[in-house]
Amino acid sequence: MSILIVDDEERDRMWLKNLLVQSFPEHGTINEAHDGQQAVDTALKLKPDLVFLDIKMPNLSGIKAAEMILQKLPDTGVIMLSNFSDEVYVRQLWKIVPPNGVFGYVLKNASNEQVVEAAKAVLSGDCWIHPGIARVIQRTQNRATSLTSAEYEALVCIALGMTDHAIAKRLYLTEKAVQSRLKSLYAKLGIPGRGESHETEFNQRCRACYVATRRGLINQSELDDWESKLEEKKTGGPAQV
Amino acid sequence: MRLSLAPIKRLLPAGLKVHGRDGLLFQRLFWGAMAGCLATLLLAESPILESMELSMLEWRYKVADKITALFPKPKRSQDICLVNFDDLSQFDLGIARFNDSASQEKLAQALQVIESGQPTMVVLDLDLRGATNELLISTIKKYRNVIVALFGSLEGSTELPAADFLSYAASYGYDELIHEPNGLVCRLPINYRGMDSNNSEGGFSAEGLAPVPSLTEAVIDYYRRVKGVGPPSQFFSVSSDQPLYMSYHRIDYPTISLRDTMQSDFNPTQFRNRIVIIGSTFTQRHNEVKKKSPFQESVPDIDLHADAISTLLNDDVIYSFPKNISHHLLLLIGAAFGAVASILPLGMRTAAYLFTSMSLVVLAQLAFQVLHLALPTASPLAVLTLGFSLGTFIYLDTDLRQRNRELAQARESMQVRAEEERQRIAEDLHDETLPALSSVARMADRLAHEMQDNPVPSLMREKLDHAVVEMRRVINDLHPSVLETMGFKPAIENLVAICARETGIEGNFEDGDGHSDYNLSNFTRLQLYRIVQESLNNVQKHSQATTVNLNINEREGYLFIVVTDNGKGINFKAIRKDAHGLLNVRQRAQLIGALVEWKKPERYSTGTEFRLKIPVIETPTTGDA
Repeated sequence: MSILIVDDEERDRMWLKNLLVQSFPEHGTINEAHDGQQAVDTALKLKPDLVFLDIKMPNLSGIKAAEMILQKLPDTGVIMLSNFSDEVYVRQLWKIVPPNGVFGYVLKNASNEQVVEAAKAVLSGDCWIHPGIARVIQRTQNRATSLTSAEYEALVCIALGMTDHAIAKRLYLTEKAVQSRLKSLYAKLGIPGRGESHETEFNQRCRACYVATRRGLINQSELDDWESKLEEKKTGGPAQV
Repeated sequence: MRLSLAPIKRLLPAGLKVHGRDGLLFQRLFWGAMAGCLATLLLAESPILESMELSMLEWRYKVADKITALFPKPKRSQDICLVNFDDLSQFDLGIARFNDSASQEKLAQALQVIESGQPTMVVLDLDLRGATNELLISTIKKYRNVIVALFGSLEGSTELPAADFLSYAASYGYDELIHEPNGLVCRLPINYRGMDSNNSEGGFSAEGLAPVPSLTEAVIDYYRRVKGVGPPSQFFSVSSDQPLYMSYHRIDYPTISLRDTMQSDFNPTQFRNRIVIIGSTFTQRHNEVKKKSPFQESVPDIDLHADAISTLLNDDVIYSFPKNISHHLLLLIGAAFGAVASILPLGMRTAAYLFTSMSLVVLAQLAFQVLHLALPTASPLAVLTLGFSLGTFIYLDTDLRQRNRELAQARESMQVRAEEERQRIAEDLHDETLPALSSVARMADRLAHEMQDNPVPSLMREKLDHAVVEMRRVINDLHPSVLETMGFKPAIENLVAICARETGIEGNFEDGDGHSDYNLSNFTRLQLYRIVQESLNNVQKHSQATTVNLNINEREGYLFIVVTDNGKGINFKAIRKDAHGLLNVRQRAQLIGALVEWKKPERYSTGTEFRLKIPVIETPTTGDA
């Protein structure tokens, strides 16, 4: 497994390299590049499995570099590692990543665990988007398939393993309302209803979690955040979720 | 102005710098000269100025008189002697007019006495209409040096003296010596059936019309014949639009009353070799405007004749500057002064104007006294004044434009520098502070691992994350780095997306041309970004809209950005005085030369449509779309 690290700051390259060496003992070569153009050249030559890209770099921005790399090597896992939290970058990544391709978007203030989590997710074929940005993107990428905040809430709750009853209690809803939310959620995630198809014998809840993880709508860190928030709420914290 | 100058600029050498200060100088000189020419055309022929010119001339006579009075010179005339038929003579001799035989006989006697003193010539300037006296005629015929002035129109016979008097005595005639009411011009030609010059016997010839001299001319002509020398006759051939002026020196003429010449003890030797002018001191003519000289309101004709004759004899004529030349000169002066007035700095122009005007007046006075040349001053002064005013207008106008331009440039460069500074700060924060915060956060992570039971490190992590989020917001406010990393259009699209996400307003981005970027400077891009940001902000805060559309399109050399919402629309009256939103947009637009307007949208029944139009160099379609 070869990895390419692209950043114009040597400090960041060092940190990431050390982290990857520690977390992935089975790693192959770890190469470095310090601008976008060099990244493209190196990637095309070495065909790495995973590319970490900074966005703001001389000569060629990370987004452009990712686009050029993915054109030639669509199976490469690209993880943007940047200080920009603008959703525009994530949206752009959605556009340039091939339909089955995966990418990660990690902010530079992420903890080491989050970086490793993202790397693992991308290597195993899931998208990973930094908490905070993820919530932004799931709502704005496409009106037809994007989730409303109510649906997203429902998604998080089932991912956390809550029952309809628990969700209703937690969100101050009737169980019927929860069920109708889940129904529209499943529809948007493209999961067939229980009566609609007999061939697809999936559990809808688990399937929803799988699809959402795949798309990068939820991830471990995100869920951890929510978990702690719901705990707070249980213990008398603010009602707002 | 720039447009109208364009054809002229095209004539200039290609390398010539026509912008900035040089272009301004050229513009000022050009328009100043044009203004000067205009002033000349307007004022050179003005009749008001003509009469002003005459009063200025009169004033110049007075000044000259005052100046010459400082240097006393002998003023007693040696050439001319006046014989007055004044009020005293009138009553003592019992003659009111010389219109009967008896009174004319008395005049003949007096004439004989005068002639006995052997004068060069005798000029009879008396109204001799009416009967004819044989003695008078024979006396005039005898001495042959008498010049008789005739009154009245020579065309109308009733006004004339008896025919036989005419045929013998009328050597010369004149009609009106001076038409100018201020009595400055010394001659005016008349048309008169003149005496046949071959027939010196005095035969009155009815053949042909000849230009016939004035009394003054007749006198000079005769003087020349008698003396062999005299003033040249060139004075009598100049055209009427270039009049000659008498020079008034307040000459003291020896004056004798007509009554005195009839006293038995009168000594006529004082008339020897002199020109004797016999005339009345009161006007005998009806319907006659009183003559005036520069110094006196009412002057007897006899004095004016004497002045005119002595002017010629002393070769003192004051020439007037030829009008056709002066007009051309005036055009030059006007153009030059207009041009100068339009480039002079403010502090100097009034001084220059006053100096020029004063020197013109002084020059005119000098020319008048030393060169005997009457320069026109009223029109030049008027042309100077108008040219000066127009030149000043041009100066102020161009100056104002220049200053405005410079001010706009200064404002822009200040804004550019401010934006650069903000960008620098943003980059510093992004490149230095954020990584530093991140690394501290990771240290907190490590601590959290090592001290599982201590909540402080994870709390630290949380606080640091907040700080980072806040810092990112600050950085983005300082300088939107999206513009550089993603390009102009994705950045704008992002704004719509953010607006839609934050407010729940449905946001549509309509890309009209498929370009991802335009030929705009970084500064312009940034201002456009901020304008769109502000207008979306307005939609978000005030419009209560449910849909907002942003259309961006490049068409025919212009980039159009249209933000349309279906909200409640802008009520311009309700906008608070201290609200900066629209003003801010306007100022930014002005800074980058964009046109902005707000109006009612066509596609919604209510709402606002914000349109921005900015010239752009066409983007090549082969660009990365």
